[in-house]
Amino acid sequence: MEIIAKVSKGSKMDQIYIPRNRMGMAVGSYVVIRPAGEIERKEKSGRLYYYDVKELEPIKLEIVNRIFSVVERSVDELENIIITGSFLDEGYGFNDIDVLVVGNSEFNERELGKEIERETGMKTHFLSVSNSELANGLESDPFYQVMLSRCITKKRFVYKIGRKINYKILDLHLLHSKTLIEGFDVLNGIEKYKFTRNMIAIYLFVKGRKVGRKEVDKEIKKIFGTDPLNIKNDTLDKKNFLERYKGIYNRMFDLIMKGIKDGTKQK
Amino acid sequence: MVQNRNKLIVIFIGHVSNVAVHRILMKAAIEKEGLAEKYLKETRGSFVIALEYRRKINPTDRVLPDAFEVREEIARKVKSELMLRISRGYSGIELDSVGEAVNKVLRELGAA
Repeated sequence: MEIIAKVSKGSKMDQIYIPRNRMGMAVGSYVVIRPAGEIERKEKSGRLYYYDVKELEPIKLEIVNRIFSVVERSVDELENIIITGSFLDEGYGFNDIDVLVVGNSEFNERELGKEIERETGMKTHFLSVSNSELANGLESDPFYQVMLSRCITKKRFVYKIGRKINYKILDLHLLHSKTLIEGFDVLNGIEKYKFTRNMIAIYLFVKGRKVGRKEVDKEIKKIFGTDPLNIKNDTLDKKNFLERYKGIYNRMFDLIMKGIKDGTKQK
Repeated sequence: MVQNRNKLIVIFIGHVSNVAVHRILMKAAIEKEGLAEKYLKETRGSFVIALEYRRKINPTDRVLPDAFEVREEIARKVKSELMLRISRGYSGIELDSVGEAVNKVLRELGAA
């Protein structure tokens, strides 16, 4: 509990009046008094940067701060820490927390994950990259663009970079989405959504369009004629959905193969 | 239950094939060393999904009794996926490495 109050002048001693009806700080208990300006400065130094995240539940914010604190004391030459993924969605439907550690030093991801789990009770999934790898990824990889279109970071993070299409890398990414065609009946809604999102991100990337979570969801709605929520909830018309899915997959595969072939010819 | 197991094996085969194809294509695709390491981690993403499915298939604590059939099916799928690319002009794919790549993934997953 925190109360901001004004110091009043007294005859022998100055005093601070606080409301009688309050939670905590019982009469007789000891409290710390410090200037409000110092608290503001402290908050400023612990400030986080939000990208396309309007609000985060207080408990999640506490978890983010703890993760940042553990990573900061465990990783040397740290450039930035980025939290992304479904943890930032409203509610508690996430399985683990995706943490991107930007820096130049090696660290034991497993040990760090264990320490964070001890501190927060949450499982984490780490991806560590250097600044140049991050820039490369953002330039040539739709996966990075989707991932970082919505995130919370420790330091300000600016990404406005060009686009470089590497068809062989896109082929590797598209391959993941093939699983949905064969495993439609077995995969759950969230898995189906992830494979669909991956494919549509590649589709937007190749078309030179902006690749972010919002843009991908909008395109999914347009192409499949259904809200992404219906994919997550696994309430799809299988025949209709798969028909459109295969159509886009095959188009993307053809385009990527053509890109690879043309690239080979140029060499 | 048998039907459920068969379904799980189908999806398991799909994920393992993806991991093997991914590893083989990665060798053909990535020229810069820095990128190779990053993409190896991405293969681990598919690997983790495959592992999740492996844990759902009985017996979970020893080699699958149908490991031979599973391995054959995965190798067939991997070859077909790679041949498709070769026929479309993708160069530098090492088809000879299929058997070894599949065996390695299955061993890592405790399925063979």
